[in-house]
Amino acid sequence: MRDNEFDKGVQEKMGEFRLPPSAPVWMEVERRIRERKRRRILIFWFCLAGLLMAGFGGWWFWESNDRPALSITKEGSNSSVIRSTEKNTKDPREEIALPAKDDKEQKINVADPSSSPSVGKDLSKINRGETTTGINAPLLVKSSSLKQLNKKTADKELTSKAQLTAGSGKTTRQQTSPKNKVDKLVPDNDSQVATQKSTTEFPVASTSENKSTTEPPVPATATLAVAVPVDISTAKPADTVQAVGNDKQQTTPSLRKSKKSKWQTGIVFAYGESRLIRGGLSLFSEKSFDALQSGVSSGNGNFNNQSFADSVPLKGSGIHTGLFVKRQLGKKTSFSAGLNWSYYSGKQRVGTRVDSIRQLSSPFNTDTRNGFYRSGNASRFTNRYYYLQLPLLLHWQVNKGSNWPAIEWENGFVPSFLIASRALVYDPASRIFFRDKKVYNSFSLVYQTGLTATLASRTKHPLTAGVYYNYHISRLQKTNPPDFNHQSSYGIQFRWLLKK
Amino acid sequence: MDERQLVKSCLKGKPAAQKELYDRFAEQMLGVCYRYTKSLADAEDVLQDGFVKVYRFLHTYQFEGPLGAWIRRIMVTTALNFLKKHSRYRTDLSFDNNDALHPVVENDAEVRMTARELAELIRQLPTGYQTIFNLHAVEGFTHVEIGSMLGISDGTSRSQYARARSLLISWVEKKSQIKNDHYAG
Repeated sequence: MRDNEFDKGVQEKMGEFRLPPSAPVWMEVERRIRERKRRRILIFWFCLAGLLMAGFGGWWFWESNDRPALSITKEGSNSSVIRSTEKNTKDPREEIALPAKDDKEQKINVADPSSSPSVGKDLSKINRGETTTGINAPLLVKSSSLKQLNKKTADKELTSKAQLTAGSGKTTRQQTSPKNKVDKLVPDNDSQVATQKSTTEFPVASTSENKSTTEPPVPATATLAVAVPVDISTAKPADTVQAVGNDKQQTTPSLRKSKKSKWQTGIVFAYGESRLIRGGLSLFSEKSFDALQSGVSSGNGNFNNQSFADSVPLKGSGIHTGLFVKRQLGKKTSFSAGLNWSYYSGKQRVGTRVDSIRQLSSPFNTDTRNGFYRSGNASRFTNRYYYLQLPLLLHWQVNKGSNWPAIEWENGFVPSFLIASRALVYDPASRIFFRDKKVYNSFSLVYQTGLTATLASRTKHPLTAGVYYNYHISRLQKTNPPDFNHQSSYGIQFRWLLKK
Repeated sequence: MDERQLVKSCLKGKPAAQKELYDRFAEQMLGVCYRYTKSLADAEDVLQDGFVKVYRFLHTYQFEGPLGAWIRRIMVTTALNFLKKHSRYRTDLSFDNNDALHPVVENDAEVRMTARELAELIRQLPTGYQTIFNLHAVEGFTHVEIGSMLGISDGTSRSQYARARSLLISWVEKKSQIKNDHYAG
């Protein structure tokens, strides 16, 4: 019973036991809650950016693969039939364009046959069913039938080649050159049928029969390639009908199913060393803290001040990872843009941590700090900086030939945004280190250069490996006192193409 | 603002509500943390970590018991983790596996001292004794629960508690004697 009383007494006493905590406890709790919230927000935005990039990349990939640019080309000539696949075409009737000799596409407005005298006449004819094929020429070319259509066209061309006679074989514009009205293909009846058949899909080809009686016969060797641009949606006046003569070259219809995208997408990963350096790209000019401590002169005489020497940063690691898109600009040049998450770190020798509140002021901020480090050599603190970077790089292939791995030299600028940091700021006056995020520049411009070699370039997903160096042109801290105020990083980088 | 309202406001991230929650429970919880640690600074560290956990896991509080009890449980868990994590406590937190119950000395000790004085005496106990005494005598955990919490057998917990208790009783009596002598003299 006594024992129970003792236990009960202890429980009662301890139940009423209270101790008031010191003020910094709440400050620290609050800071940690806010930091966590900020981190969550950052993670959210980073994920959103990643998703957007992935979505954009996916869309690009799908778009470039799903773009059925279909064409019939005649080798050595400018004749081609190109199917436009604009998704927003309101009218299902599609456009067939025929480049003239000057590579300009000419169009016929089927909806308005009268807009082109010669063509209009022929189209009217077709619409009245007066063509030899008796087809009312709907003048609609469905995408699904284009492949078949092209095959047909090729066959008909070959037929026409044997049967048709043509003029001089020169390609001329009827409308713009009246004297060339006679420059037509005049088949006999059979060949006319053949031609008409082919013009069921390209109806305006029937116009070639109009002046047949006045035309000199076309040499048997001539080939016919007729293509009529039909642009209903734009409702432009038809331009002309063009008969393409032969240049003694074989007509070879070829089918291009898709237009290859000029953009490549991929992921990049780089790892290396990072450190804070002086301005002016003086990568290796700084002296290590050890050397300073032992009194070794740096050669430039700037290390005499002990309070300054306290703040000399040591190297850390740098990591960059992200997505990029790349586009070939020329034979040897290309451009890339991307979105990277970058991490820079650097170690700092500090003294003992003091867990007390101290009023500290900087040019940007006067605040109460809960805890700071004295200068000294008791421990090392790792300063960490996190950036969101948008690298814009130009790549130049330095070697030539396809047998060797392509070696590229890259150069460019990287707009960078400091998204988070966990680093100490040094106050030379009081010789202490403390945390103050407000002294950092949130934006900095970075110069980046590198040399890369493409490995396994013939695979579906080539890997590029190389070295890089980047230098923050902008200062890390807004304040001038720290001499080592420019981030730099160098190391190895890998780029992996997801889509060639 | 009642507890439900307070919790909801905290969940919405309102700083005023978070501060109010802290103000309402901080002193009581520091008392809990103080009993498990050897210094006030460590107790405040535990309190800090504990409150960060409270805000982090507040959405899991189902209003099934008093909010204070729920926070207290978090503080106790945080304190135990703190003891395991820090080497200065870890070496002192070794439990011998002697399952034999330590005989409790019969006494008629009564707790005639302030809560602070009693808390100071509890903190004088070796860490192992201190922890088990706090968990059983103050928090009300059974020895089986304590065994699972600390990774020891319930027998060990019982023996450690018995030793802690007898030691504490002797200290309480000694202190009471000194007090009595002081007042008598």
